[in-house]
Amino acid sequence: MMMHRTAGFVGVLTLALTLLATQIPPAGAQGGKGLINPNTATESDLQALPAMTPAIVKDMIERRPFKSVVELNKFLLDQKVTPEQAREFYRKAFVPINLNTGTRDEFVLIPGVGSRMSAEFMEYRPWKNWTQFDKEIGKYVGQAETDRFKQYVVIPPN
Amino acid sequence: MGSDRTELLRRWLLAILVLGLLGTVTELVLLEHYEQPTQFVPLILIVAAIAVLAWEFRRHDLASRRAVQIVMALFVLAGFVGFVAHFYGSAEYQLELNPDMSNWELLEKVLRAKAPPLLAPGMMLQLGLLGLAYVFSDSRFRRSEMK
Repeated sequence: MMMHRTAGFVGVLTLALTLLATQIPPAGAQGGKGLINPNTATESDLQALPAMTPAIVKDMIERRPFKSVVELNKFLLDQKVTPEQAREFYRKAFVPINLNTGTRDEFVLIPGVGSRMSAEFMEYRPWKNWTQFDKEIGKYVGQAETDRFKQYVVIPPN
Repeated sequence: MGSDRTELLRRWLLAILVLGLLGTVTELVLLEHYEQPTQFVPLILIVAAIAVLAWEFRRHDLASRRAVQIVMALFVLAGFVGFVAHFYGSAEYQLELNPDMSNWELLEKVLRAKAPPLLAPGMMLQLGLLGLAYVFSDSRFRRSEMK
């Protein structure tokens, strides 16, 4: 009888832990998804992006990989792309930023992120998982915007 | 209302006020409400309130009551100023997202945001009003005010 009860308890505990594990997305699982990465995109994908011309795309392919979005931004501005056009470009394509090492200059290139939000990104370091990100950033701008920000950043696995 | 009952009521007011002060200061410390210089204001005021209430408890004279009155008036002021500060703090995040947002949309977003909590400074206002009720319910103090 006692053995039966213990086995039942272990079973329930295992089920609970399994459910819990599926609720916590692992670091890196969601970040940087949903946008085109200019470092890996095909020529035709790049061509379809805002403010892109065949010449810019050709130069971009020759120039890549871009180590950071700041480097990409400098490249675009050197190509006479205006800051407004670059912002439109970043709504579709971006070089993902490591949340734990990214700089303010990188964060403020994310559309909708300014000095206040970039300070929050840096304040809560080290970022360990997306649950933490949802909790800490969601309280300022809500879940929809938090999910949008996740497209631009990554949390590297420990 | 008899003077005994008034005095009992005043003691209850004082007890609720002290409880509120202790609860609020604990919450503010746990929330790390001291990252910016202005965030120290409620903490400093609560420490000042505890000090003047301790003075009032020991001396129970007009000077101590006047000190409580001044600190509690500052609580009321801090409540309003805090409300404005929280509004602008929250609005900054929303305007970063969309600088072209209409005023109504901004107000709605700020009211819905969990941080900074827009109405939280209302606690300072409430504590200040409790403190002022404690002071002004003292007949000796009221008489001295009339002179």
